[in-house]
Amino acid sequence: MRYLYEGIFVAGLLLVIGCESSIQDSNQEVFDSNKGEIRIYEVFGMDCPGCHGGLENLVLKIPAVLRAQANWKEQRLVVTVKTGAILDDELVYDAIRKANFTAGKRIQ
Amino acid sequence: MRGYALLLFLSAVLFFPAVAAAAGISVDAGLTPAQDRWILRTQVRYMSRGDKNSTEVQQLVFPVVLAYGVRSSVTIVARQVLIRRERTVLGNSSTKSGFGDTYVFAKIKAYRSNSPRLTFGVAPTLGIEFPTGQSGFSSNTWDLRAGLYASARTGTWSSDANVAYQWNDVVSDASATPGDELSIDAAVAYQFILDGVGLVTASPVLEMSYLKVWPVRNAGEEVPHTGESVLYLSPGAKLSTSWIIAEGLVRIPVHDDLAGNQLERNVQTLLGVRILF
Repeated sequence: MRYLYEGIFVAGLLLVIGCESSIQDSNQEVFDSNKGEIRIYEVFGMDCPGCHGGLENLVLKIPAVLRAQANWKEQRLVVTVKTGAILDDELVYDAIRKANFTAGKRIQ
Repeated sequence: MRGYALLLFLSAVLFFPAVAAAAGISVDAGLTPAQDRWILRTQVRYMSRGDKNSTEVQQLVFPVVLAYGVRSSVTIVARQVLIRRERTVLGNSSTKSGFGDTYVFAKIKAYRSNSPRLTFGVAPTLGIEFPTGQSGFSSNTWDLRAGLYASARTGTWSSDANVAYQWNDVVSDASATPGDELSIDAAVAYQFILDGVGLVTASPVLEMSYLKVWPVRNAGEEVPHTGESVLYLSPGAKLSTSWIIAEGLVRIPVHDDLAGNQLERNVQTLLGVRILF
């Protein structure tokens, strides 16, 4: 049973770290919203908090992107463009497809 | 009496690999992850089988699963299992640990539909379990496993279903071959948003798992006291954040149809963590 308790402890510890990180991510979005051009896209197919990361990683690979923040509840992807850079929307749509989601309209 | 206990023990050991394969499925089974995404999943599973004559086999199983999205439509998954087994026969206990067989499979996106209200996906899998495990923890056979997974999500409700068949010992010409395995699973979960914005959610989960194991065959004949079918009902819970998911499940055998004399399955517990990179 010792292994079971150790497993519970490790799972609990990782979860606390995970929650902390999520809250920090949320605050980061507000902080960065004053930097660069902000674009907002509708994204369908995200249904849980864990869905965000794969899409954000792919969008962040686009050279013109400074920051990417997805939210499954709002079905939105917020992209911050680097100052002076030109972002082709098609690159964002391609990242959404590679994440196995479907792009809706660009809201902003 | 000792011979009877030994027979029960052997039958339990024969079938524990099958138990290890029938994992909880509270995952997005029919939805392939994003391209270039790594997912690490590890669990602690406690399971036991026993009878009324103080014969018992207990196992702690630690599977580690690594998945990678090679493309948006193809995911490669590898699983390695570490097993700690304690057996008690007529009051005498002994413990042994070792690595089980390595299982590698591919999941392919066959269909995916994303709409504002519903996400639906279907993904077949095909994989091989290699006889890489240590003595006593390996099936010693090359096994082929094919599955079909489906998932539906509405944002608050989610459901999964899958059917899988495992052909055991597909390449050797050994006279004794383990029986094939069929598993059918279904799960439903409801997602509560804990933080208001959707970055932390909690989900009660209910799973149903059916496992059918055909008898071992030796020289074309069925070996007595082997083969069974079992139905599990498994309540559990899942806590999700943007990069880590913790899950727990209690698997209750509500129906166990054993061929001949075999140790009966007891309640299993499962605790797991998934890290999303």
